[in-house]
Amino acid sequence: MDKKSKPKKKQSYRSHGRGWKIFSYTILFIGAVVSLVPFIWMILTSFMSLGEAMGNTWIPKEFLWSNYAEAWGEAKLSSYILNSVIITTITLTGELIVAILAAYAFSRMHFPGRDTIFGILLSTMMIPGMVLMIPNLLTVTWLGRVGPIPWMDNWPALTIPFMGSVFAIFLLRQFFSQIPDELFDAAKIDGAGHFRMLTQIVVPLSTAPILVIIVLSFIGSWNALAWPLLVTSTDKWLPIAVGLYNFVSDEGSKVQLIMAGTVITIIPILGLYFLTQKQFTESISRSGLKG
Amino acid sequence: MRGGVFKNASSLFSSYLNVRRKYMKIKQKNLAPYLLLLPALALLLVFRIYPMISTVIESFYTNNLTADAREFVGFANFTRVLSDQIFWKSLKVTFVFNLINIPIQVFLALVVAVILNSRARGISLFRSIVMIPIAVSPVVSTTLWKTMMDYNAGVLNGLLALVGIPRQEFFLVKEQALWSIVIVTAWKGIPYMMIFFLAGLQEIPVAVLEAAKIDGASSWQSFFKITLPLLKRVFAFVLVTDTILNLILFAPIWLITKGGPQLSTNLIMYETYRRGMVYGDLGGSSAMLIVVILIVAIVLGLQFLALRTDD
Repeated sequence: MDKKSKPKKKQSYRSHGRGWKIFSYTILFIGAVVSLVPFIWMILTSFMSLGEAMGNTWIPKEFLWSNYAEAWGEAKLSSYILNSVIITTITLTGELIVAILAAYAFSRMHFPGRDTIFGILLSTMMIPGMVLMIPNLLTVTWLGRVGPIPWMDNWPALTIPFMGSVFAIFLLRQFFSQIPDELFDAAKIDGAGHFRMLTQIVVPLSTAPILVIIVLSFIGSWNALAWPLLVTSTDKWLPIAVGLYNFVSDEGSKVQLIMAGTVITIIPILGLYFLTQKQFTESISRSGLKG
Repeated sequence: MRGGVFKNASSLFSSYLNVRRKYMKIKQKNLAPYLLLLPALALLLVFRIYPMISTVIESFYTNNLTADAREFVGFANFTRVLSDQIFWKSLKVTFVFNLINIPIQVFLALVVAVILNSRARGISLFRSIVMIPIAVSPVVSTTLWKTMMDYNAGVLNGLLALVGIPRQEFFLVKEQALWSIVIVTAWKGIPYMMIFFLAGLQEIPVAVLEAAKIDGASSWQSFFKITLPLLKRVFAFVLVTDTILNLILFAPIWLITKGGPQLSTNLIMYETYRRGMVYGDLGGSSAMLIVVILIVAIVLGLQFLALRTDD
């Protein structure tokens, strides 16, 4: 009996047959090639001479590391990267604090109007970014005029508008409401208030979704282009995506330098991505897409 | 008797204190959630809800940038936009683009997710590789593809030459530009949507599929009868997200074709931008945005109706 059922079970895992196997590996192979080839080409091109980059070659005769030095200097990447690091850090910190507080209220407290307010917040996810551009530009200018510090061409305009993230609130709310009530009852008996519950139960148990928000917001903030382009007028706070965009428009013909600059700017994202990839996919699957 | 009065007064006082304490507690309890929500509500009110209201208001005023010169014009902006041939052409381009783009993205994302959900060899490596494009910014991905699809220096034309296909012009001619944009958006769109399908597939209990197999169901049967119905919610989520993202697609058009050649890639969001930012017609641009939002809402409503679940 045992002997019979064992191979059967093994078979059930691979029971799709040879045709399916060939088909799936073909698709995977094509998918991997299409995903990877632009990267490989970008990296190879970043080492080429101008002549090689303009003519259909794949392997540079000589790997020109000097392209990186040149791109780094010409595109002023070092100062832009520092700007982006500061902007991303401020945005992320603010966004997480705002979202954690709101998600805690939405998931662990009962108050009149809770579901209505949450519904309104969710529906704002549908508003296209284009709608926000001009009104927010006017708002930010006005806030800078009446407030204590200038907003335009300064960190507040680049960070504060992104701190209210419905996506982050929604994701955290789903997770916070999954935490068993028993933990909260126990804490209540120990005399813990909302603040202690938040810092000692909710946040430590929700590292996975917080990580997802950190990765996605990091990518979003690092890559933001249109808004920073609108609210910066000098180099002082220019983030990396705008720096790269300007570099592309100025040096459009020097393909090899653009590719070197591009490689430099995506290294931080790829690094973060691979460091967190496992937790990242796991927590998306646990985030309760089911509503 | 005096003692009685005193006693009464003291009990009255203590009961007052009790009531007060209770009241304060209720008050505190009632205020706490709103205090926690305050930062989020303030930010979203100022930076999301106000712009929406302001856009609605703006669509009823003249197109002047200076605040004191503006004039209420009723529906004039709407009638001007709706009688503009370029607007209708742009709308048509947007629909053609999405009728091709969204099904391709959703279908391929589902196929890849099903494959990546299996336990075949080397799957985790493939999973990492296929997800790489998600991490890349629109600027980077469009720059990459624009350079790769260049007529003269593009590496894609080099590859085509290897298999004996003549050079293609891609973004330069109106017959190919829109299709080239489909390729550029799908490169990022398919893996992004694939993540959600994969997450949904992983939540389907293996036991259910095993049971079906014991009952003699073929792989195809169990996919169509079990997996697909259980994926319905994720499918709806992906379809809706992909629709929103692509109906309001902007970055690749702005960075590569600027709507051209001959308006063949002039998607509706780019037309809105062109009208407002390039031609300075803010009133018309706002009216167009309202129309676009209404269209998105209608399309989403139809999708929800079509995918309505009984559970």
